[in-house]
Amino acid sequence: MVQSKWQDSVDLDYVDLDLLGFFKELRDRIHAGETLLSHPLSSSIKPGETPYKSVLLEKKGAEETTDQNSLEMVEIAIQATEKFLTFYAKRLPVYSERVHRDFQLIDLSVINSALESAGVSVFEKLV
Amino acid sequence: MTKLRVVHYINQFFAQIGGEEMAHIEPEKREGAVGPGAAFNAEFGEQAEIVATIICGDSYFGENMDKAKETVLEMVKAEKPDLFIAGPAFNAGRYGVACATITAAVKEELGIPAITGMYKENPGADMFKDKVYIISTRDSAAGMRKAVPPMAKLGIKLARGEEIGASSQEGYLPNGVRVNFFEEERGAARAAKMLVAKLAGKDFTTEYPMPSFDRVEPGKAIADMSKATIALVTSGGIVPKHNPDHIESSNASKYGEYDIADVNDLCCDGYETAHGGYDPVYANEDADRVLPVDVIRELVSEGKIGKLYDKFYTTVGNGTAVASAKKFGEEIGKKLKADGVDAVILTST
Amino acid sequence: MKLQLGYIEISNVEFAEKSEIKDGVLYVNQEEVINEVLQDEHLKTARLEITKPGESCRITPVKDVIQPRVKVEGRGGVFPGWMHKVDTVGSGKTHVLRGVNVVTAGKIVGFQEGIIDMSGPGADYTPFSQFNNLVLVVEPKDGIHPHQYEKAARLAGLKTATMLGELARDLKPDETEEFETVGIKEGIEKYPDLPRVGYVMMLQSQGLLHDTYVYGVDAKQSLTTMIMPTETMDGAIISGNCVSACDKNTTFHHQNNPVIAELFKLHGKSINFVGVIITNENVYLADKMRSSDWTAKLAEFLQLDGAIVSQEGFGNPDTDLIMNCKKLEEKGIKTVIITDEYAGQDGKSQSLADADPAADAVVTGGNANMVIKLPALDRIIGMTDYVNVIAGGHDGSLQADGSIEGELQMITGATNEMGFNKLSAR
Repeated sequence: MVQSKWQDSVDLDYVDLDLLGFFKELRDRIHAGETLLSHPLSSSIKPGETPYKSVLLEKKGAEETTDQNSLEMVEIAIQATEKFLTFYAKRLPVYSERVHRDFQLIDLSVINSALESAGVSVFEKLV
Repeated sequence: MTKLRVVHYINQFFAQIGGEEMAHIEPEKREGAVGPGAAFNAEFGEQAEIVATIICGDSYFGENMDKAKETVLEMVKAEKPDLFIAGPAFNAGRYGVACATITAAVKEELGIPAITGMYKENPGADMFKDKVYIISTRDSAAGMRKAVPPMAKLGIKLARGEEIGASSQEGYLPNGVRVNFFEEERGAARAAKMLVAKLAGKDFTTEYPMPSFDRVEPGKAIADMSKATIALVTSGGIVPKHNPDHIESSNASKYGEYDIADVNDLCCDGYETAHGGYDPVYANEDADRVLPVDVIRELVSEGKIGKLYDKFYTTVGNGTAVASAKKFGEEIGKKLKADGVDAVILTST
Repeated sequence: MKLQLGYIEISNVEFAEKSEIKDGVLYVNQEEVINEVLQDEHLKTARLEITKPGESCRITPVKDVIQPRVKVEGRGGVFPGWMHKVDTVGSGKTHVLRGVNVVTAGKIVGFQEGIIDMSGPGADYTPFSQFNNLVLVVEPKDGIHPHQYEKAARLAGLKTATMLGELARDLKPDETEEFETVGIKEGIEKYPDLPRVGYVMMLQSQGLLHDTYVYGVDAKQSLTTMIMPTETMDGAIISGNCVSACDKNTTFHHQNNPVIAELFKLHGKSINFVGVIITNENVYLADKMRSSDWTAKLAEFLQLDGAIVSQEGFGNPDTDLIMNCKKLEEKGIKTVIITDEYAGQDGKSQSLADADPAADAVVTGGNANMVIKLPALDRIIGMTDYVNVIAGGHDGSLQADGSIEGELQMITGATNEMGFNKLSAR
């Protein structure tokens, strides 16, 4: 859902990973110079429960430095996810189509709030 | 209900055999209660009874840890107890470590419920509070009367397999396991009281201590390394061969200061490690691997570093209480500063 | 600003021909309420059910809990921005139906949650097992978007509570209480020697089912601001969130804010309760910076000596909580924070997703990961088929016999971070 709404307005990358894999990908990008604009532990849906997660990042600037705050935040997100994975089922339950749609909807709603804060609206290309 | 069988462990002092001069005595077992055991029996009433007391000298236990542990375990096993109690050790360091060590061994190796008690700053508490229940006591034997009831109560609960409450209810040292329970007052009232106390500068206890980070601000960068005096300090246990100052292989009580003014290389026969927490083969083969004297000397001769300080400081980090480590650090720091050292390379393992 | 609350004790609720309150009994004409609720074009069905403390009954999935109140004197009406005009409330006189709540239930998304058990072990963990509950179950028309359904359900609850509150307009209260907040200058003159204390209330504000509204405004679109404590008692803040129900503030919590109540108790004795700062918990990191800076700035301007900060939710709000605490402490304002914990089912994991040594005074509402087994109860209001997919549940949570095994998270209000409950952890 996030993809279909925002793909024309922001530079959108979709990665097909589990949440832990997703956060590790985020960590790699942060090491490579990207900066977090929204909190990775967004929403009250637990890590290990939601199959969908969107995070807003800023592409690296001219300086190739790693943003320490972003790094710390994503490391905490990884820790939290690992914690939840140890006591929830290791894999997600089989959700119905409706539940999948609802998870997407919440993900969209949460990232919308971040994008609104960032002053991005649909069809307005982020530079 | 039949009385629970309890075995009690105490040291030579509490058995009234003697003080430091008798600390070498080997483990012995006596029937029934000895010393503080009487207070436990009184507290147990009809529920439990000390059937045997094991007495061991603190020095003997500390210096022959494996052997002492094995002997004591055999003695405990023979009694087929329902519960094992050690101490309380208050702030006696070696006694505390012995109590905690043997309590953990009884619990893990014999599968018998076990409990001990000591002061929160006893090194035994630091080492074992995550492994066994340690009832928090005062720092001296004057706290015996207060220590016995919670130890007895929690011990009986453990022996009976009953549910264990939160640390603040049962009186054990917080062990990192968070347990839910119902307070007397609601959270908002507790918060308001805590704030009033905090505002008045009075004591208050946080319900969730933040994970402890003893952050130290990094020192200023050295502008010119070619003029700097650099010292080497390690918690990796590198010592001259045969460990002349007997730095302990774990829970070190001291640090060493050794002259290396004329040493260019720690290689081979002169040095070894006293550390008991890692495979010593590579460090014993070449101690430079832990304390890089050879490399620093090279950098000095290349002119990249001004000077290597004439002495190095060393201790064993393995299981050493944070309080001890802090004390060593402060003392070492003072000496280095007085001697005009500009920076320190601190190596760990 | 001064507000008098007049409590009308409600000991029982029954359906009847005529809606009225007589001798402490609330009589409700179902049809009247349902007709009113179904005025909303997004709703297909609505039904009312009554459950009382001790009954073998489970309400789920709970969306919100609302206490019926009516404004009898002073400006505005309850739930300003929703049920009445955006007129400043918090002064005059308000009547409160004490002992009965409106509970809204409805499956807005497929993984929703929120359980209120009226008896059994679960009842110990939710404060709402202690009240007579009038449960409003609403279903949307086909093709209605979850956003519209959420709003319709939210309004249906407020509407019902407002209707019931009206019944108490002309009654004589069984008990009254008065709360007053004076201006800054007057406060300093009145209590020159008492420490000045403020309350920082953090509001969940992240999107669908994660929102809070102040006078009708979505909190995530607002900068940190101030509100009079008595305004909250007239329903100035309402809840739009229920995901991970244990630490979400229902509208009832806002109407009966325990921190405000406790600070009023000490006001004029050991502290001078100056006022309330409300601040949001947005997911956008720059918002977190701005909101927490603003919190500290307002607190400093109010010349606070101390503050209590209450959180809502976990995870990213931990970051807001710690930022607020740290920045207040940096200004020299002594701070106590109220939170809850996610320490894992075994209690051994790190409880919060952020930490700082400045947070040296913490009150906890307990470990939300604690596993609890809820036995099957005779009556279900709502539906349980979603339980396997809720936060705190897992595949197989819902047993064949109707019992539920899951974490405390699924119970409405169990680890409330305003400190409403006695539950704690060490």
